[in-house]
Amino acid sequence: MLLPVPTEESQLTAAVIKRCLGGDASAWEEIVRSHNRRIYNICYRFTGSQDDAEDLTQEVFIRIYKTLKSYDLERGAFTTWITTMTRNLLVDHFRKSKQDRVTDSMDAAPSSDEDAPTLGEHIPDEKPTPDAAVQTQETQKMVQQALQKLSPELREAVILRDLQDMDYREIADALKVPEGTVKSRINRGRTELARLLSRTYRQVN
Amino acid sequence: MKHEGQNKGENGIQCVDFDARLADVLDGTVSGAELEAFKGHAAACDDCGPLFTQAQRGMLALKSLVEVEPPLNLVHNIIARTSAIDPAMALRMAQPKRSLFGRVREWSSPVLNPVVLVISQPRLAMTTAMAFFSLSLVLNLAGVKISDLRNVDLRPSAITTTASMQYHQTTAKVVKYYENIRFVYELESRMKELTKDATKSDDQNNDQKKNDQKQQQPDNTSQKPGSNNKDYSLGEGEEILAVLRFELPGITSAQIQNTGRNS
Repeated sequence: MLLPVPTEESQLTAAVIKRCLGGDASAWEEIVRSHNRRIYNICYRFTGSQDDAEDLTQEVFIRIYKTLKSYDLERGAFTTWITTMTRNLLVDHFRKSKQDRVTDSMDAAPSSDEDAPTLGEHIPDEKPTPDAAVQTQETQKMVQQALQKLSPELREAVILRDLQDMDYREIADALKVPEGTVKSRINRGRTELARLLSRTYRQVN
Repeated sequence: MKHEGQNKGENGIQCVDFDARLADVLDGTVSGAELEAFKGHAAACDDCGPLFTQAQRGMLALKSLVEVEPPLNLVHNIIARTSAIDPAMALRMAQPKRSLFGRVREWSSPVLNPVVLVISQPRLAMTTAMAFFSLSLVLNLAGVKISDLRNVDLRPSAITTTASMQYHQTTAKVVKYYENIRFVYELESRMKELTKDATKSDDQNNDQKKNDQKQQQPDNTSQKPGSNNKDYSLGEGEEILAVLRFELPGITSAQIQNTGRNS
């Protein structure tokens, strides 16, 4: 495995971490301010709850604070390290809350009426229209609800790829799975989400 | 996920390869002939075609989600919780980094502020100045230089050592000075004693001379009253045990007496 080449950003991050480990409180505050938004969004998209997202974000930072000494710059980017920690905490939270009862597995039977109107007309196509429904608050809510029904493996993959814009290598490092598996999960997650949205739309109408 | 057409090979692409390249195609990293072959397979394959469409729609649905704003107090809450783990960090977090002088001044301000208010009054300004002057004088005499003080000198062990050295050095100076003074006093007292002895001898000589004159001249009425002085250094009834006769060689006492009369 090739070691990542230290970039200017990673060197700056390393300097901040070093200051933090040296007892500089402002460095820790800098870390929190830099990453809290991203961590909160991952947690929110994974749990679908603002309260849970807030609690989990705090838990993530407490865990980061406690284990900051163990971070090794040579082994990967700090963002990836934080993402891995967030992902592990989310999986733990998922197991504790037994959320898998409402998870709609990829193996679940697809809609019996395949000829029913699809969501294609209601989610943006390659050519987004000004009155696209996805821009509305209601559609956002529907997508978030559909996301909640994905299995945790697919959900975390699509969140990291489509919402956090992480590349496949970073996702593979964060999830500790091969890059091919990451791509496969992303494909399955996207198609499953589209099916869930179609089903939801049909139920609404 | 069901993917029945895994072995199909429309347009030279297997369904397995289609699945592997799907993410890259949606990312826009595939182009040219490979992209054309991919799209041809999607159009021809009954399984891969819907898969491509759904994956594309799913991706767009996810991309449509906007970033949510975290709660305003999230950063504060995180810092508060981490501070609970490490109170020292909380203290440092609450207070910006200050210099040593600033920290000392802040620490001592409850005590020093009232004192400064009092001594800054005009009527006490001169007293304060004198006290400061006296203190600096004492420190100078004791050999203490403020500019030489370092942090390392403020350790309890260093303070004890310095105080002990100062005490012994000062004691040695005082003892030496006292010894010198005693030597001078002893020398002076010896000199006084010697001087006193010499004076006594002169008086006794004079008395002897007067007695001799009295024997030679019984009528002494012509003598001045003041010249008949007694030697009061001797008590009544004390007898002289020894007398020092001072005579120069070649000159008799009679000649000396004559010289004294002529003068």
